[in-house]
Amino acid sequence: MVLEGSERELVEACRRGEREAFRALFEIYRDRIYSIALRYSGDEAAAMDIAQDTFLKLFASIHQFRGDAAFQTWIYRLVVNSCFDHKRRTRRLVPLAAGFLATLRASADSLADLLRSEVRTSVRTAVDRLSPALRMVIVLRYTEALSYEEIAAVLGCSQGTVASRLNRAHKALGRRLSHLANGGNRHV
Amino acid sequence: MSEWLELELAHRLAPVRAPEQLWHLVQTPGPLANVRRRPVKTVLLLAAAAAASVWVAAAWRPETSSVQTISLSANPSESHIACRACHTD
Repeated sequence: MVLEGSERELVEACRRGEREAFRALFEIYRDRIYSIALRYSGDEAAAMDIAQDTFLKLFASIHQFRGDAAFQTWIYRLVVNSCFDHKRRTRRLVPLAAGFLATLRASADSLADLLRSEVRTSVRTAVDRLSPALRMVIVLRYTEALSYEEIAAVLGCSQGTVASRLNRAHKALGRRLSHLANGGNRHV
Repeated sequence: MSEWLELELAHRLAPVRAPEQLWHLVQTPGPLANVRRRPVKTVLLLAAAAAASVWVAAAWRPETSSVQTISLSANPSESHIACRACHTD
């Protein structure tokens, strides 16, 4: 049965146009793709757009998958490209405004809520301000817990480049979030 | 890099569960933006309707709406009661 088979069998079934196989593949990757999209874009509506776009590309081009790379790597490449394409189409003019609106939406019933909201907004804003290349490395590392080798395979660059980008991103984030580290708002 | 930043990033960028709606969107591809803009359009239409209502209300003047008009139309000579209301003995 397709749904109980390996990933290779699923891919083959998708190529044959079996609807159950598409659904099974969707269920395997839906959370991972949506998570990358959400953590990269910082916006639920944009994440839905990106995830939808990724799955449509996946189903439309699955016959092009040659098996040269791991299937998971191939899917990660699709979502990474969708993220970059989406960012090019809809540049966020005022990222800080999103953070401000998120703060307004957050519950402010208690001091703990306020602090939690401040930390969340600060981290989100700091990540938003990273360049797309640095932000994607951070998302793949912390959302998907990929190794340097896996990130390099997804992005098509060397592990040295991955290490360099991570280092630059960490330094930038460290500078922008130093007030939280020193202010005692840790994990509220 | 500080341990605090490492933990914070892992915590704030943790994976999430995709909404159930996603499968329906994948099955019925279409311009998502149009779907989501409907509420915006509705709000804009309501705002326009409200603005038009305010404008119409401001432009409309009943014939005897002001106190001045009423007082000018009254003829005190026809009734001494009207004079006594203001001029006491």
